[in-house]
Amino acid sequence: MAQQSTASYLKMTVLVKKVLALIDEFEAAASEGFMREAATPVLLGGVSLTDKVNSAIDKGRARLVELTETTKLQQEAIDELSKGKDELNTLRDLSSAIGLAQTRDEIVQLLINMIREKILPIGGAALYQGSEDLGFTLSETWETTPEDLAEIDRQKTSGFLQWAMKSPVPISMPSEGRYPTAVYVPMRVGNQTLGILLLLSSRAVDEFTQSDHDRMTLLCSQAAIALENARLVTQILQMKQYNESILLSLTSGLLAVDLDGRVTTLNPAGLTILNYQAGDILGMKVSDLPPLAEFARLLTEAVTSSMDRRNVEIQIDRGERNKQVLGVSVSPVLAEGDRVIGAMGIFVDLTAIKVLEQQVRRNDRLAVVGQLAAGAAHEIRNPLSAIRGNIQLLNRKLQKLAEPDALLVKTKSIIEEVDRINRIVAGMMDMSKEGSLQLVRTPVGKFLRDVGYIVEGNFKEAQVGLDFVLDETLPEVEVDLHEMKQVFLNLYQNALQAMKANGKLTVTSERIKEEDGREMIQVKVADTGCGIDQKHLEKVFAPFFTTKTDGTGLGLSIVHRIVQEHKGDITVESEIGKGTTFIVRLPQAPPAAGATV
Amino acid sequence: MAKKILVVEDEAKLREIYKETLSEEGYEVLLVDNGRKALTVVRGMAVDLIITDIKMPEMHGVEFVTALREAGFNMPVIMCSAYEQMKNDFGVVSAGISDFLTKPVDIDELVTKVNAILGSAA
Repeated sequence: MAQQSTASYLKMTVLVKKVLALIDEFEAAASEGFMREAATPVLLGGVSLTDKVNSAIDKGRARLVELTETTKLQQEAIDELSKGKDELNTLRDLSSAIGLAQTRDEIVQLLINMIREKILPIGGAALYQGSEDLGFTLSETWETTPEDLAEIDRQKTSGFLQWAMKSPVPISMPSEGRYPTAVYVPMRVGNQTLGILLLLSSRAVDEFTQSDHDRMTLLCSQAAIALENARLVTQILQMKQYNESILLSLTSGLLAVDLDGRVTTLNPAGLTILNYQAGDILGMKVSDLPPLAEFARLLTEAVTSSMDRRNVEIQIDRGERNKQVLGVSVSPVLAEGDRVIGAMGIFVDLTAIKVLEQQVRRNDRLAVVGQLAAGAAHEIRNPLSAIRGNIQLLNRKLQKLAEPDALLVKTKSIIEEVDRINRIVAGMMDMSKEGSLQLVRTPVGKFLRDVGYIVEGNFKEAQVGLDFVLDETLPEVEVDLHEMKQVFLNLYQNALQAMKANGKLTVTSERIKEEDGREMIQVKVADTGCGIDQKHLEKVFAPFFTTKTDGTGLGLSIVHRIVQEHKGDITVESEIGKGTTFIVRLPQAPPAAGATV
Repeated sequence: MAKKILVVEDEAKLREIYKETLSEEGYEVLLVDNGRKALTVVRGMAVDLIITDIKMPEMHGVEFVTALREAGFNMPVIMCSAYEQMKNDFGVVSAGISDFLTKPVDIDELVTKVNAILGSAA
């Protein structure tokens, strides 16, 4: 449109010029005629022909000039319009270019190029950033020479920067450097000034038009929005990365669900604790995962009640032998306006701590009972000696009588009961004994089998199998042979008592690594007996706990103490009707002196 | 002449049982209730065997046996205690000990051990 009108304007000008030339030619020719006519004037309605022609020529000229003026004005209007259109195009170009630019540097560089290309010549440029509260500092410069920098520095003290901060429009000021003008362009978003672009221009201050300023204002506000967006995007990305790294480095598990109870987040620690693969659990409803039933209940409660709950102990139940205890804190997840959009739980695995707690409780109890028992036991033995000795003497006298049998049954029974008391006393003393161990290196397999020989006869008699599944390559252990023999004798005999004919005791040995990195030898003594009720399982190592009618309840206490003294540990697993397994873990013997490394 | 056995034991009832049991076997039995008195007895007469408790007032069994050996007496000694681990715990004197008895004492075992050491009462 602009090009078309420019072309017609040019055509028009050429035409007008041609017409004017014709008029000039006509006027010249007419003058010649008029001079001849001057001798004898020709009158037309009382007016001389010459005057009439001259007046017509003048009118024609005036018309033409008028026409030319109008065309010029039109052209100016058209120019103005096309300038506006250029500006729009510039803005559009900037917007789309800025849309692709992602960094502050790219955006400002684009802005400078646009201004230079479309508005005014620019030399160096500088960007001040900050806020109105904290003040602005120079953050970057473009295309500046040391001289420009000195000028920028001088401008800083001029006070215009402070003025520009609050100004909605650019401010142009004379400069003393190699450029005559310094332009302060505030970059504003809404009421906020994000930064000030200082441009050094070769255009003199009095040559600046309102339009230059307006266009710069527009461009800069556009760039300011882009800058603000870029800052927000960076902030969000950083926040996202920050959140992700928090989740990643949490040693506690974190599980979040939406309102449907579907898992939206489970951090790596959480995956490890709960033993899931991310793909298997993300998007699943927690309530559809049976082991997490208690967890699901807590999360639902958090959503419905909008309340936090801290340090709740829950169980992850994957069957009899695989139970985990978790400490969980749950809270609702709130969006804007305190709207509940889900729930989250932070959890730690307390299983190992619970086991330790149990052990500590057991050890404390054993220590106290042990000390009491040891003192009492010794004092019981003297009176027992007197009773037993006197009954034995009585026995001897009875045997000299004519028919002693009926009486001998009585004395024999008394002696048997005294011996039973004595066994309890012996057990109590054993349990509390803190003798120094006489450690000897011995191969585990040979040791286990040697103890097996002692009870072999009893097992055959009861028609119970005794099977050793031993890893013969295991390193040696260091044990007090007498004490450790007692441990396995007790375990074998307990097992035998728990089994009927055709039962089987399996003793296995293997090497394992404890959580603390210690290499241990693990011996499992597994029977196929009646099993131990879950409610009794925790108490089996407690002194005087027995389910047998004639047991002292001290056997496993003693086993426990001896294993502990060897810096090992013992645990038990059992299932009613299937059998019981005692698991003894003993440390490997340290490398033998002089052994080749 | 009957062989002499000195019993060192602070429990009166036990002393009586030792005396009755061993007398019936034909031994002459002397009774004291601590190590100090036992040393006095040994210095005054020839004793063929000593049976001593460990835990006693005045002078306990281990002190007594140590003093006995230091004084040059080398008759056999049977030690008797409620501590089953005595052999390990009192290893320091075990070289000079002929045998051990664990309380509560089985008198049949006592007789067997005494006879084994002394051969016979006569």
